[in-house]
Amino acid sequence: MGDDRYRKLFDKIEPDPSARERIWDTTFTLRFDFEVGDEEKRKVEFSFDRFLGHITIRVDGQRIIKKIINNLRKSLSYEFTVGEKEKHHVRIALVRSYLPVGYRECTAWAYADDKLMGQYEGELYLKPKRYRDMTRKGRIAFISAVLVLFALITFLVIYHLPIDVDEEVYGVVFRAGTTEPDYLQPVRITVEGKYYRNIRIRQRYRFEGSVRVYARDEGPIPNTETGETVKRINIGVPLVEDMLDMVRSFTYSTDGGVFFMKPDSSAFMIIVFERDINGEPGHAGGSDGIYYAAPCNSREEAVDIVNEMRPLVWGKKAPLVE
Amino acid sequence: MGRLQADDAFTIKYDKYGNMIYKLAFTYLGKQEDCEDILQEVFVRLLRKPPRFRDEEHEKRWILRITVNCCIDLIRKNKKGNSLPLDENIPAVETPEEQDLLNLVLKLPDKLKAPIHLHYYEGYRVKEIAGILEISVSAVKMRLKRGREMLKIRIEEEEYGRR
Repeated sequence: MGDDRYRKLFDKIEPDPSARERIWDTTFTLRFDFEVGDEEKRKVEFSFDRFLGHITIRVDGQRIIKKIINNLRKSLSYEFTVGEKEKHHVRIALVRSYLPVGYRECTAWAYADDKLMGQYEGELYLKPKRYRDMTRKGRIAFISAVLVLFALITFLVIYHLPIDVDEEVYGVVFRAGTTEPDYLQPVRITVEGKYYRNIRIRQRYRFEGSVRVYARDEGPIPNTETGETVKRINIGVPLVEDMLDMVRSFTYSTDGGVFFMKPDSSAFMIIVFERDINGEPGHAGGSDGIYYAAPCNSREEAVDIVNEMRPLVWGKKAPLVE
Repeated sequence: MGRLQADDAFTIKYDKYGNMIYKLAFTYLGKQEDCEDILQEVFVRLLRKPPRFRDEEHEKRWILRITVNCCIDLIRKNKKGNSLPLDENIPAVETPEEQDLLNLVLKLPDKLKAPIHLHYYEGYRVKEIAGILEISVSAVKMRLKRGREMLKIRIEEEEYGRR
């Protein structure tokens, strides 16, 4: 193939001279015209450059209005009179969408003596054109994608709504293991507040409210973090996914321990931070640790709850308590 | 881009790149209407959200790549493949030889068209074409070789048929 033949051929191939104006017009301009008058006919031409915001109105080729409209302005209306012997009142109204800037969809209505002469659409260039050109299969895919997106957004909105928690349950506090089998006291636990979910991995759940622990019918239990109103509690530790599916974990208090509840509020557990000899928070949740469990009425039931929820905190290999 | 600058920008860019885009698009599409669609699409992209260009050459290469992508998208959308009907109203084509050559170019497989056009019309070197089309140098060489061979073979066939 000779280079020259190719070059000479393509030297001659050029766009139509009117293409530039046509492209600019079809992409960025809403243009229409109409005639007014029975005997004295007048031609009204309207042009709105959607990219620049230029509005031009001509009557019989004579420009009567030329303005640049504010970028934020959503609607506008122009009124004027045409004709000398035969006068007509013309009104042109334009409404456009806010987004996307520069490529806005817009609609114009033209009236002559309050009679609608026409409605003119300036379509959004990109998406509707593509949508219009789509095959049936493409449209189904497009609509499906929009529906999936809508469902996802709806899910996220609902997922982030706070969930009310208002529970009063009866349970026991006990020491696991065999060292203090008599360490057992019935308790009443109240949980009031809201918990919030988000899609982050860390600090995925947040609880705002109060967790109170009372000796049954005898007021707060001494030497615990009972009755403390916790303003804002975040998850204190990164949690494994399967645990998150089962248990909502909240730090009950920095001193008291860690509070856990099942998402359906069917079981509660508090792992108590015991203090070491220096009075610092130390040992917690071991096989001989102190646990609150609810709802239950006996040590055996409490052990069952703890054994059900402990693996969700420490993993499946966590030894069971007795 | 300022409001009043957009029209100027369009005009300047169109004068500068309009022909180039149209010619490249023509190798793929062979129809005036489709080529104007490509012109429109490329200029919308160029004016709407262009990347930061280092220099004019960078801008030109970006436009060439976008043009190729737009053409391929349009071909896929229209499912025209390689059997494009030639626009009968091309004033440029004056002789049967030119029409034959244009037919042959249009019948080339799509992936050979851009390397051939960029090399033989725009005058880009193999390495530069590789950069524009984001393919390897060896792939460009291979496509140029295949394109040349196909055009040569086809030209010979056409000439033989004419006799």
